[in-house]
Amino acid sequence: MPNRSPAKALLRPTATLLLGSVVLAACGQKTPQTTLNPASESTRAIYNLSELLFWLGVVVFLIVQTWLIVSIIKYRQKDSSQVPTQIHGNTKVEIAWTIVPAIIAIVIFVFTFDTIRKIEFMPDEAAGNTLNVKVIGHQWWWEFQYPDIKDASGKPLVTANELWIPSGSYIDVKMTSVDVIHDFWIPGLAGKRDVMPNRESGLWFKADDVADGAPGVFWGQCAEYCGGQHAYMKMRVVVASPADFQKWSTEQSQVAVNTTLPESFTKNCIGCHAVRGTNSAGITGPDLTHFGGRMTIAAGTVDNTREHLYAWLDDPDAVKRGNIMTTAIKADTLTEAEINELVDYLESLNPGTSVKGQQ
Amino acid sequence: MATDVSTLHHAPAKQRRGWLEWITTVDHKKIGIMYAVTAFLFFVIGGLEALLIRLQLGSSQNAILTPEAYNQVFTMHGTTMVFMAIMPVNAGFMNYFVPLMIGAGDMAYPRMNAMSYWLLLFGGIVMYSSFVFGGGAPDAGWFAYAPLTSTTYSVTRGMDYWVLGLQLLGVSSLAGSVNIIVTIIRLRAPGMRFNRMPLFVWMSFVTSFLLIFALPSITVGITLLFFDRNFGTNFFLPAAGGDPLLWQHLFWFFGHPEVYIMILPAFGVVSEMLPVFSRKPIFGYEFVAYSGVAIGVLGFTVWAHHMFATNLGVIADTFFAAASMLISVPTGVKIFNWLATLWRGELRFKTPMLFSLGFIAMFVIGGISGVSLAAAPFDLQVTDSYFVVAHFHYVLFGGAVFALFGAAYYWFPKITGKMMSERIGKWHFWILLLGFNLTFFPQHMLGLQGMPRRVWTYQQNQGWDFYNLLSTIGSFCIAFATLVFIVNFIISLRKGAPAGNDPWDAATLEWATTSPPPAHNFDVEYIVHSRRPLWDNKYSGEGRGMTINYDFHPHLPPPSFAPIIFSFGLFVLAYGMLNLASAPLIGIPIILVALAIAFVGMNRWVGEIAQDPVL
Repeated sequence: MPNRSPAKALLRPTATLLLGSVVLAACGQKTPQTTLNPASESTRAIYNLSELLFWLGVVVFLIVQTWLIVSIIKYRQKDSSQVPTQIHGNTKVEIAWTIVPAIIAIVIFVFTFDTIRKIEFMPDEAAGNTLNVKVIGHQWWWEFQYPDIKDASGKPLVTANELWIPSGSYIDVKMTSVDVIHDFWIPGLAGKRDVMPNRESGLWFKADDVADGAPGVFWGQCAEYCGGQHAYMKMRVVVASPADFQKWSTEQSQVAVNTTLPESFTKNCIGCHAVRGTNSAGITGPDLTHFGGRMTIAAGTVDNTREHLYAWLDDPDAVKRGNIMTTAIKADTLTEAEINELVDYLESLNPGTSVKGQQ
Repeated sequence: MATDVSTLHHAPAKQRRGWLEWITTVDHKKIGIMYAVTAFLFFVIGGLEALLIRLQLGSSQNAILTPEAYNQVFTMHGTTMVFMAIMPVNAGFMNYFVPLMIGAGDMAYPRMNAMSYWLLLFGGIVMYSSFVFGGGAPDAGWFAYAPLTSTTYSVTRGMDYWVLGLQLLGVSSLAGSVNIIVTIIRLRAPGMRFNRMPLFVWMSFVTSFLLIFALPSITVGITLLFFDRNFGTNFFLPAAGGDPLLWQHLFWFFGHPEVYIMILPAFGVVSEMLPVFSRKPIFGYEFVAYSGVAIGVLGFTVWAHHMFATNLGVIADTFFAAASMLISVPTGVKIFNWLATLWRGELRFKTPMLFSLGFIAMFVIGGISGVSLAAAPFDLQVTDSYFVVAHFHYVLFGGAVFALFGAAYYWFPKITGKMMSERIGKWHFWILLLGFNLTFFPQHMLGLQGMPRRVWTYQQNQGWDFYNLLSTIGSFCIAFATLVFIVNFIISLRKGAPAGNDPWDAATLEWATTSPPPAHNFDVEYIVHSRRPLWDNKYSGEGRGMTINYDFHPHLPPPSFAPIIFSFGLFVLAYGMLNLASAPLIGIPIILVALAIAFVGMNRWVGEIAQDPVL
């Protein structure tokens, strides 16, 4: 980063240490959804602003608490008959401590405004290097559409709960909801944006470059309380190198790798789920065309393994209580044989380019 | 008036005994006590809900509560603490002490005052009865964002109970505010000019105006919501062209001033306690008073900072960020004046003083995180995360609740005539300070680590277990501290040392009368000559702070059944409204009965007003 002042050069690592390392090291646990590890231009701008806020906050905190503690020590009552000098006030002092907070507020405002400008307006250079993504919120899962990428039938590519994007491109996200208000939040890549049923909201971000064959995985989650399973409305965002993304999107545009639907699928699933290349074209639930390559089941509720998928199909209510699939699939709806058949089929829907199993 | 003064002084018209005395009282002091006790009970209930929340979040993937139960519990925790604990405990202290501090005999409208209390109690009962009759409590969060509140997504009757409970609480607050304002404007003792009023009275005055201007917005909002849920309208339903964002504007135009409605009275009591225990006047009285007014006015220009994530656009973001940051200026002025009040004082660390100092230390942390949240881009990362939960608990618990516990210790001797135990009080303070910070400080970290608020559980692989565990341990320290307070309260009520009129060597008029004060508050009329009438009489010479008019004829209205009957009518009306759309054959008769009850109350009320002497 050019033009960095020495003070800033010193502050930056210290703040990172305080804000980040101490926080993380305190328990030695990985926090994959942290806001403290920005990996896009906009989250880095926000992070820089939060550093300023943090340091000004530290200064104000120290001034007030020191003043308080010094007063407590210095002026504790020594003689109960003593009446201290009755000071009623001092206008000059009042003016001073009106102006000083005002100056601090102005400083914060200037940097805030600058940051608003940086994260809200998409730069001109984005033209020609933009990928459009449409986010659709559902209780309690995410639908992602790529208007620029067409599937085999010429419709926009659709996927669910796992958003792949190319690094280095401007991602122009438009969002809306089919039911209540949700909020699209991937702390590493962008701030929050409400996903509302009657209007289109939007944001953009540009993820930092990643190497070929080494896609980065970012965790995200619905941040606006949206009813029963708000806690399990999660998503993964996979930032791939442009070449990897190209490979992924080419694969995803194809019909499913296995278009022979098992009977139990036809009987139980096609009303709500779509598998491209078959007659399964439901739209209530997530598109399952390339389900086998996804990282998670039920919007980040569990990792996508055979065991978890078996448990999910056996009794979805036990895995994610109250989710909408439970209206069709109860604990005794499917036989063991049917579940095994469905697990085999769904896990076979993996076109190859996948980060399944990666954290 | 040729009334016999002595009868008025010592035997106000027919006094009722036992529980009827409380049911029929129009004495602002008894009403104040009922307010505070009721609010404390709701505080305990809201606190138990908080413990359930913390138990569930104590470790990842806990199953103590189902998601449905968790969502009801956190909704009721917020609603209870805001509307049924902090607001009414403020109202209780205002009721008891505003008339005493300005040298008045009662509130301007004693019967309406009783009505305000009964509507608080009934509003709380309506809301909590949803657990039993509504098929479930409200479950859409305390700010109840549409369309989650619609019958499609909130399928129990809980939200209807929520609306009707809030309507009763709203009437209660509105009537209470009018009463406080008129009392302050009309009933000040001679010489008690506005610029001599105690700062608690100032802040009560500002708070009451905030309520009057803010409440209509939520009243409109919840009325429209009730129509949407019951009568087929579509104000907030997008499918039919309604707008969920309209709800957010209506709610937060109330909701942000509401924050100051909760915190300004706390600023007021701290501005009373700090000078008394520093044995100095408040530093910069005018600045402390007027900064409160400034906060109140600016408080109406910042509501959309709760909505930065809704994509308001650059211009709105900029405006609301700037306005919100501006509030830090008058707030900073207050903090500096409090600190300057300590400077060169003779500080006595009695329990009320400890809570006042704790208030400053904790509130500053909430203020710092508050300014950060005003920076819209930072807000986009931490809003709706546990960072915000930490922030507003530092403001409302570290701020308001600490100050109000201080006020309880400060004024308990006046209310009961007995001192609270200092020893137990200090245990209470230190355990609470520790527990509070242990509970809420780690939540800043959780928010920065990406934990959203209002999640009923989280997974182990998120790495949030450790801070959540700390927070849960802290919450039990808070519960224990509250238990210590209750023990102290009971012990002190039974065998506290006699307080005398003026145990803290204080400055304001409530300490010039006996503890507890007589029904008519003062045997004489005080003519006020300074801001600290009692102090100046003690330390500058008799007559310097105030002089006495013995030719004084206090008037007290007799006890009355009218307020509780009228309020009970409105209480029944709520249940009629609940059934109006779903079962009109039940709802309409209930409504008619309710109106009849209210009419009986009103009729008695009017008859009693006619018998009041003309003053």
